[in-house]
This record gives sequence, C-alpha cells and structure tokens, in this order.
Amino acid sequence: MINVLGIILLIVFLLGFRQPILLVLIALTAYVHVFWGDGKLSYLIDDMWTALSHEALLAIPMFILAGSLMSRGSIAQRLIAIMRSLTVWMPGGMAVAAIASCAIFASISGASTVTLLAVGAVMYPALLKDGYTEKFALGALAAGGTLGILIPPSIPMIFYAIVVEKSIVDMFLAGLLPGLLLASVMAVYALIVNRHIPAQRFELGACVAALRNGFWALMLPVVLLGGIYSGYFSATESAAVAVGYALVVEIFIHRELSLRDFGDLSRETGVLLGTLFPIVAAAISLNMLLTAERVPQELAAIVAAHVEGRIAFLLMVNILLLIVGCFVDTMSAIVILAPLLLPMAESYGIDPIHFGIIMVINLEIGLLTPPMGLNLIVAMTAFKANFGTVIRGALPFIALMLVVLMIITFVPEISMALIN
Amino acid sequence: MQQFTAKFIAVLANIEAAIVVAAYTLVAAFLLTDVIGRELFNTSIYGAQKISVQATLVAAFLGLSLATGKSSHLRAESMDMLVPQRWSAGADRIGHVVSFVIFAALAVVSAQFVLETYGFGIRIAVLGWPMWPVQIVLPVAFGSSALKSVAFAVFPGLVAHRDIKEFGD
Repeated sequence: MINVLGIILLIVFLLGFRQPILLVLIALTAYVHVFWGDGKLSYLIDDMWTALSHEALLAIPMFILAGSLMSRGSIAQRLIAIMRSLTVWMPGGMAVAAIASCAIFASISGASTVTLLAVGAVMYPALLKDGYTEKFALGALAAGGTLGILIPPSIPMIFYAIVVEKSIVDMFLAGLLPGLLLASVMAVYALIVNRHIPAQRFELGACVAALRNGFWALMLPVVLLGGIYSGYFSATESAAVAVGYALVVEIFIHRELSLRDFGDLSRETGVLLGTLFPIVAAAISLNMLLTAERVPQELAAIVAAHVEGRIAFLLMVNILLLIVGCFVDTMSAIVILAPLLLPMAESYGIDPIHFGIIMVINLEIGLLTPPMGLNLIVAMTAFKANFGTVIRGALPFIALMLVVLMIITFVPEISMALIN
Repeated sequence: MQQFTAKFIAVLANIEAAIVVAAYTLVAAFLLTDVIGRELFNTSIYGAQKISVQATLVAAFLGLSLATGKSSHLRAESMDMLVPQRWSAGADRIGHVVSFVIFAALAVVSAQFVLETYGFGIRIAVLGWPMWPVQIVLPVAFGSSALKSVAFAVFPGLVAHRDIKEFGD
C-alpha cells in the first residue's frame, strides 16, 4: 500500500514539475524495479535497448520521412487537385474533396498531423474562399486528418502490432474497411450540411489534366498498399519504398525538392522520433516488468470477476479509452495500455486485431477531444484560429466518429472481413 | 557564460543532427537497395535490416538529446495546474533540475550497462559485430540531455519554444 502511494506521489511530483512523459515513465519503471523487481536498474536500460531492436520499428522513421517529403513537395497538392476536379459537380463538392483528399493522403502517410497539415495548407483557404464556414472547414480538416491513423499504413497500428506481437499486415488489412467507412460517413455529412453551396460545371479537360499532373502521386498508394498486400514487400520495406518513391518523384519528376531538403527533413524526423522512440522503449520496458510480475493476467481476472459479458466489457473499454484519449497521446496510450488491456479482451473472446482497431479509433477520437486533442491544437496553430471555433467545428465529426466506433466495436466483421 | 553555453549546445546539436541524418539516410538506402536487389536482381544485402536497426537505435537516442534541446518531448501540459500559475517560472527551473538528475542517473546506469555488455562480449545477432560500440550512444545521449537540462536550469533564456507541429501522431 505504501509503495502504491509512493507511485502516485512520484507521478504527481514529476508532472507538477513539468517532466516529459518519457521521464515520468522511466522514473516509474525504475521505482517498480526497485520496490517489486530485483532492484537492478541496468535491466531498465537493457529492456529499453531490446524494445527498440525490433526490425518492424524501422517502418516508423521511414513513413514519417515519406510523409514529410510528400508534404514539403507537391504530391499532396496534386492529389488534392485530382479530388477537387472529381467532385466539382456536386453541391458542396469542395467539402467532399477535403475529406477525400485526407483519406487518400492517409493511405500514404500513416500519421494524422501530417495529413491535416498537408491537406489543410491547400484546402483551408480554398474552402473559405468558396464560401464554406470557418467552423466547418476547421472541423472537417481536423477530423479528416485523423483518418491518417486509421487508413493504412498507420504508425499507431505498427506500434500496436509490435507491442502485442501480432502481424502488421493484418492490422493494415483490418483498418482498411473501417477507414473507408469513416471517410464515407464524414463525406456524406459534409455533402449534406453544404448542399446549399452551388455546384460548378464539370470539365473533362480539367479533370484529365489533374489526373495527368497527379499520375505519379496517385500511383503511390497503389504501389505501397499493392506491394504490401500482394506480398512483394513487408510493411517495413514498404516504408522505405515510400521514401524512395517520394524522393525520386519530387526531385526528378516534379522537381520540387532538392537533396538539401531531404537533409532538413531527416533532421526534423530525428527530433520527432527522439520524442517517440524513447517513450516506446520506456513503456515496453515497464510492460516487460509488469508481464513478468503477471500484472496483466491478474488485472484480467479482476475485471472478469466484476464485468459481466462481452458487451459490458467493450463499452467499459471504449469509455476508458475515450477518457485516456483526452489526456494522453496516441502512441503512449497504445504502448502502455495495449499489453494491459489485450489479455482482458481475449478473455472475452475478442480478436486481438479487432481490439487493435477499436483502440486506434478511440484514440483517433482523442485527437479531437480537449484538452490534449492534438489535431485541435495543430489546426488552431496552423490556421491561426480560435480554439473554441475549432472545437465547435469538430463536435459534429466527433459525434459521427462515435457512431462509427460503436458500429466497428459491435460488428467485428467490418474489421476482420479482409483478413484470411 | 550564457553565450558560450548557447554556442556549446548549438555545436553539440549540430553534431548529433549530422549523425541522425546520416543514420536515417543509411536506413533508407539499405532497405530500398535490399528490396530492389531482391525483386529485380534476385540478390540482397547481407544483414541490411540488422544494420538498419543499429542505425535507427543510434538515431533514436541522439534524437532524444535533440528533442531535449528543442523542448520537444511530449508533456501532459494539462497537469501544469498542479503548481499555481504565479510559481510557474520557478517550477520550470526546478523541472529542468529534476530532468538533469534523472538524465544524469540514466547516463551513469547506461554506462554501467555498456560496460557489462563489453565485459560479457555480447555481439549483434547475424552481423557478429560487438554490441558495445553502438550502445555507447546511450550514455552519450543521456549525458548530453543532462547537460542541456542543467544549462536550461541555469540560463532559462536558452530554453527553446515548443513547436506543436513537430508532434507526430
């Protein structure tokens, strides 16, 4: 009891004195080693090193680098131009183009903020110019950006697959239909609320020109997802292919980037991963210790004794994850909670891959919920908007995402249809 | 003294960044060449993924130090309310001291860990190379982060402003 009180005091002290999540996790793991383990702190470092010595993790820097290259170059702009030319004939077509652009960029980037910034930089001023309200534009782009982590490839899905030791390709396959469902629901909503905005004449010539200009950009999701699903290359290799493809297209075909840009973007990626990888290492180290002490199994037994039935468990987990998503970033939540929650889920007969998709959607909603909703903060900063306006814009999309979450939770076939 | 410290931190960050850029370039080149070699020429680079993992480990831990220098580490900022607003500046400085203590302790423990790896003669699987030269990045990165933290505690003016666009969910 005194040791538990010590953990709480330690966490409050460290958070109060503005310590990063990384150091809170490391201090917590060290505390557990000292009071419950054998007190040898070099095991902590050993576990951290082992956690990052995983070949599947190679995909993450490569996908982040590829996303940055595509945003800095013109791949994103060309994809958006295609979507705009295809939806111009619909009343409110630009709104649909915004969601569709987020969805297609999500299929090559793997991250939500990259998707939001890449698409938003072009679409936000265009939406305002065409008469869409600021509230809608902010909400649609902030919510559309979250598709980045649901539509494969997805960095949080890679993290989930690694920490629970499941197939990354299965996670990617499972995320495809839920991602398309959510994108469709968002697009239909965007169409309905903007139906008063007049359509423009569809011009075949403009559409063909956009397709011709964006051909190499449009081929990227085909190469990536086609390569992974056909077995030509692994998820890890696909990330390197994405970097190579983006570099060749942006430097030699679009002529938008130089090798110097690659250096700058690699440095930015290094800083970003310097925040992510050590957290993952510390969280996996803590989980290794907890697993050795059989904590997940004991928690599963306690929950099984108190929560009756699969439906009650799923509702409880969804509520827990939605609350966690308000305060904790997606990666930390996945690497800390997935190994703890999965044994419980499996005891209720829930497939680990389906459970992974449920986790990702919950934490995707967390990107839109204050106070730590990352996409809200990024949208506010990038578009110089009022925080309240961003939140009000995101609210209808949060409601839609909750509906889709319930469907995905209770209809596992949507996630599992493409597996096997 | 503040100017000298600022320059020292900048030089340190440039060296770290150069190694990080080289490491990620190596990873991309190795993985891509491996795929192209396998699919087009029916050959592959021996240990390409293992070498890439080592490069990523080096880049990840030096990235940690870069992130410390840029104040980019993820924080639960909503918990800042635990200390009243009027003591915020003081809490920030004490926070840097606390970070220094933790990073310095990690540098010491990781140095012991590297010595153990050296002593046991542990080698990288597949490649057969000794592991300790790669693991030296651990005490270096934690030590560098400790230095930066103590510099920020002494000279709060050196603390970089957080850039929200750098978060990567």
